[in-house]
Amino acid sequence: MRKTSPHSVIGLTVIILLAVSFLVLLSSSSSPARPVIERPVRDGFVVARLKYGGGGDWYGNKTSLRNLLRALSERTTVKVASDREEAVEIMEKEFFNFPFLWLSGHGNVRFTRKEAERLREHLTSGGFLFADDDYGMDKSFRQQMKQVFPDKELVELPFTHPIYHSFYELPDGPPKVHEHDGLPPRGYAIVHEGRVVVFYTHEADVGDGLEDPEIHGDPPEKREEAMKMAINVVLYSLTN
Amino acid sequence: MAPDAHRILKGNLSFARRVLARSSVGLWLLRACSLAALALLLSTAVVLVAGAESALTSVLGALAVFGLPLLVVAAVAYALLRVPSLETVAVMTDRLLPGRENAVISSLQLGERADELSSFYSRAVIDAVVSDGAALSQTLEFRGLLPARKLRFWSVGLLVTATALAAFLFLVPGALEPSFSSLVTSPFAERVSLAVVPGDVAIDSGEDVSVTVSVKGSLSEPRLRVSSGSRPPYYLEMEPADTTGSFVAVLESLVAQTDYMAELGRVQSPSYTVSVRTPPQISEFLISYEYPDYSGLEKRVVGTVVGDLSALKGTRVWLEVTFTRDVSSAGLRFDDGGATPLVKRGDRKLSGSFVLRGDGTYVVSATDAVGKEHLSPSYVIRCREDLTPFLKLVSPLPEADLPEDMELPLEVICADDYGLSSLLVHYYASPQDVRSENIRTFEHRTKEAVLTHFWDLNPLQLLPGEVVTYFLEVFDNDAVSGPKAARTPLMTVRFPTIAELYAEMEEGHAEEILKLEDILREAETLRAELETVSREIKQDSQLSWERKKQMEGFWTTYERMSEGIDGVSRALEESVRQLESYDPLSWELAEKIQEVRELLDELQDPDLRRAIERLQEALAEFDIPDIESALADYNVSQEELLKGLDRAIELLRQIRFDEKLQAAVEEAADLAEREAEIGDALDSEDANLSDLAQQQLGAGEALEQLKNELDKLAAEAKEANQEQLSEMLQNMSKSIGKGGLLDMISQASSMMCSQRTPALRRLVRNIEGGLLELADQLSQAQSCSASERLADVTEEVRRSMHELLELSEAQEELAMCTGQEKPEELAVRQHTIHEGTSVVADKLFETSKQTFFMTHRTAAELGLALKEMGDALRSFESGRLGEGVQASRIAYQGLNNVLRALLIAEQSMCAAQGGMGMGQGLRRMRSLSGLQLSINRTTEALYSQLDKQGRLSHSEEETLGRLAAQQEMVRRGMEEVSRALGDRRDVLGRLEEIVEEMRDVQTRMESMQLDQDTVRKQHRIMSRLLDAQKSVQQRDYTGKRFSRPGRDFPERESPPELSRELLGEREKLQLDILRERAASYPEAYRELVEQYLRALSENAK
Repeated sequence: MRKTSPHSVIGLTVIILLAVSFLVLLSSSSSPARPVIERPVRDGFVVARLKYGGGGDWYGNKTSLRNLLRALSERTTVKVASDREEAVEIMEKEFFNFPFLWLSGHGNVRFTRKEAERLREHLTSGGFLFADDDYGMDKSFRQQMKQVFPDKELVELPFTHPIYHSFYELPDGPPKVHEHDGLPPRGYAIVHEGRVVVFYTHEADVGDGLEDPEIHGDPPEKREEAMKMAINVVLYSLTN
Repeated sequence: MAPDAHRILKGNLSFARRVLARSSVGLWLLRACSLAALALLLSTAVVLVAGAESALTSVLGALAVFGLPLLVVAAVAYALLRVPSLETVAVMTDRLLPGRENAVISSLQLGERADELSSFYSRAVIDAVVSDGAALSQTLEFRGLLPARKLRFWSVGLLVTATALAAFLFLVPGALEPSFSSLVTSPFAERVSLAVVPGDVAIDSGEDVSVTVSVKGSLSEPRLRVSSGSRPPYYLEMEPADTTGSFVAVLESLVAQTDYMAELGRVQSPSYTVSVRTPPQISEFLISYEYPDYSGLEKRVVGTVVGDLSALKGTRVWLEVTFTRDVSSAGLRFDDGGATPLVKRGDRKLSGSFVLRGDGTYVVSATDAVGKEHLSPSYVIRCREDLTPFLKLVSPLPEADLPEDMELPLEVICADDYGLSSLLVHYYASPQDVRSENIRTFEHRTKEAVLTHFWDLNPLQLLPGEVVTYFLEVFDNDAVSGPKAARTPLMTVRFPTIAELYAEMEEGHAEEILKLEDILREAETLRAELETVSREIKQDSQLSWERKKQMEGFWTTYERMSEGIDGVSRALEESVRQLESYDPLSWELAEKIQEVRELLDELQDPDLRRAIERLQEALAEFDIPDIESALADYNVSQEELLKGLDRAIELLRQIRFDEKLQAAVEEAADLAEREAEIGDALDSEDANLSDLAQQQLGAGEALEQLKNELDKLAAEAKEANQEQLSEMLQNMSKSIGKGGLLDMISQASSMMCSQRTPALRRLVRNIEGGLLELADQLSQAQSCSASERLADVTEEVRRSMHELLELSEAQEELAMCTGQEKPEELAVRQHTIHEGTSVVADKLFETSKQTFFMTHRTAAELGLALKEMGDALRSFESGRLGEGVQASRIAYQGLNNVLRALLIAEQSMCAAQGGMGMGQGLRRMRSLSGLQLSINRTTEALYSQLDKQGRLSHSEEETLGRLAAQQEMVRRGMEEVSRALGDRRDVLGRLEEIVEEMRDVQTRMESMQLDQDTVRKQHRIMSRLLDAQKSVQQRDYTGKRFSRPGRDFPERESPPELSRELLGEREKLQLDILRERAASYPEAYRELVEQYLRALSENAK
């Protein structure tokens, strides 16, 4: 019987290694690129303030999210990472790390085409957007939602929807915190596969209701209504 | 008796008898010949008509040939036998003697029977008669006895027949031959033998066959009778061969089986056959095309008789050739010398293959059983090339501007005959650095694609004004010859500067103004026409048919106007969007445009539409009172439309002016930046001076254009009575012109042609500083423009308010009347108030064209108040006191509403006066920051010189002095901004601290104190300026805001439930889960679940 020569063994080994490397290369190049996660995953729930273009004041309601996170920590069993809000742009690498997004403002909301695509991807993959009209962003926000979800409409949710009953019972729907145009408050949603992925309050001003009391001087009951609404939205997003 | 007379008589009569006999023979000969000729003629005719094979031919021929001698003999015999006697001759002779009948016969008979008759007659009488008869016979012409007529007849007959026969033979030579052939074929002919060589033979197609016939027993020449295929048999003449008795003929180029025989008269040889061997021919080609894999074409099999090939290059062609005969081997021979052997699949079937590489021809070479090679005809090989792909860039245009999101949408159409592989974009901002980016890798064998790719140019970090040159390239998937590519031409995309944006926007708004002016003209025309109609109706209480038709077109006119206004509104909305994206600091301008847009939207008054509709309905009914009423309503609404359009046009003109001014500001800032770049390049050693000189010249040209623009703006400002602004702009223009920046630029450009010197560097920095100052001055001019306008308008509003207040008081008195007053008096008072209010309304309308603070609602309120006043007036005039007072109260309320609105507007205008918007403030800060940067740079350069030299030169001290002045200018500018922003200055951070730092630096520079600390302070100033601007982006301000708590809506009903389709997927999933789980439940529960699911599905139905 012929003995196997060392050269043959070496040659065979090299061939096998090359083949494995090639396969690995193929498999890695064929998978879709996902943003590289650089920051460690936070140990708890986080609300991310969405930074958007168009000139609107995305940075308004400065104390609202801090108050919300504190209330969540005190009133619910949701494990909150901290009471510090994060701000994130859609094109940032870490964008997908924030499943719960907050958007508010008085002015123009505008997404680029890529941002719209990315936002859609996020929301249809489990993300949630809570948008609150601070008064003045309604028109542009609706337009931008059309860009994000061209095939869907913002539909007004009935008062029986789970979002109004996920933690607190809100039989009359969203609260009316500030007057704005004197119109009834409405809660609109974009529903994807039966799940609300965008919840938008108009003529409600929930964000202002979450602010520190001295900022607007709102009655405590109005602030409480706003807090209940916000907590409900968070709980709904976490359980649906 | 005279025996002589009798002898003479008998001799003459014998002579006559001989003549008769000869003529009779001749006649019969003539007859015989004629008949023979006739027979031949007939035979020939029969040959011609019935053919040579007709039996009648032979019969007639035999008759002609054999009949002739027989006839001759018979004729002679007959003639001889029918020789008449002497007595008959004598009788015949007597006929020739009219009047002497029987003279000759009598003479003869008497002479014959003289002895016998001597008893009866006397000898003398007998002698006399005989002598008389003899004498008569002597004188007779016996030719008269000839049957001349018969002779003539038959002669003519023979002549005619012979002529006819000759003619036949002339025309149809050989026509007689068939008649004689049977004569030729005689028993004697049987002894003739014909020996034919080669007999039966097989030859190849096209060959000749030489036939030799040896004749024995005859000296005649044989001939060959040849028949072949469908061709009629023909005869081939033979030539004598070398040997005696042999004849040869050649059957040439035989391609088909041919039969032949030798014939000599009636003697025939046996029939022989020449078999022609055909070469092996191709009866069928079975061609299989195996196309290159990349083409995606399926294998194709073709059965054909023609071996032409046509396929894509690289195709493997399998040929199976079937021959008509057995072959021993075959192969393909190509025109380029190549060959491919074919493999035998059978006796007649061979196959082989080759790969198509190019055009050409080939033949099939076959070797038959005897080893002879046969070549097929040449067949064509057509090699199709894979075509170059098609590429077209539908959008954008070859020179495009980059959209605000820095993504250029590329709409591409590409196609290929067999498939595309990839689409790339190649681009460069500078030609030395060409990059490529893969846009799309196409799936396997994608043949066409229409795609839109958003090319993200963000990574290029372009600056405004920079141009990227690019082209697209698409490759196909040709794996045989290599991928072919198609390219688009070179195109450019430019990052427009903000100055260009404003210039473009200004042009766009100019067009919108024109459109609005057209609409206004149309509306005025419509009004004039309606007024004419209204007058006609009032005069005639009827409407002509033409007028009615005209009015029916009003709706179309209105629709057109409405669409026009919508179009302008949409265009303005687009401008707002663009502004917000390109220049976030432009929100004040954006707000103004937005307000004009809202004004236009308000002009689309439903009342106007309703009025038109009512008018159309009234016209249809031809109801005059209704038409009058509809016209009146329309007129009211129309007035609003006209005024609104007029106002919108004026406001847009203002906006346009502001845009031009803004464009000038941005252009000056851009020029300053460009100058700074030139300065930076000068500082670096490796910059090309001639390039810099070119750039400097370019900057000079742009500045020249800016100067011209400033002149135009100054003229426009003067027309608009903005004297201060006009003066400012003129001064700026002068500062650019002679002795100013343009000269400096020209000088710098000339200096750049030689060498870089410190003086050149200083000059360039001075130019940069000058441009920054210009930009700042233009910013100031903007503020001045706004302030000037606002001041005039505020004054107008105040005056109008004052007048309205008085009118309102008078109206209040009227509204409070007790009813004791006379209606006539009230009417007079109301009329006065109405007139006064109309005057104020007109003034306010003119004022509203100058400002955005006046709203459409205010005008509408005033209009309503006027209307109520009119109603009150009419009521008072007609004695209806109660109605009049009611209307006057409503008018009073209306006036108060207007006064309130005017008060708010006046307060807003006062607040804005002397101040500036946040955007303006930021813009001003931006230009001041640019100037500060320039000051800092120059200060640093001076400081480094001081550090090297230990002291500053005289010119450097002058420069420091100038820097101090510039620092003061920046400081004053910042103070202005701080003052103008008023309460809002806190947004920008602590501006006072910045101002104090600037004051300190200015003082140091003025006292020539240039040290590290000064430089540090300047850096601090710069960073604070930048921070202040940044802080606005974040609106980082706290403090109380004012808002009203909302009112609850407890009575509100819930919106409807969401549709099942909306929740469908989720619910289905839930139901599926439920169903699945139910399987493990106890029976009773399962039943419940099933009932529930059934109920759900019934509900769904």
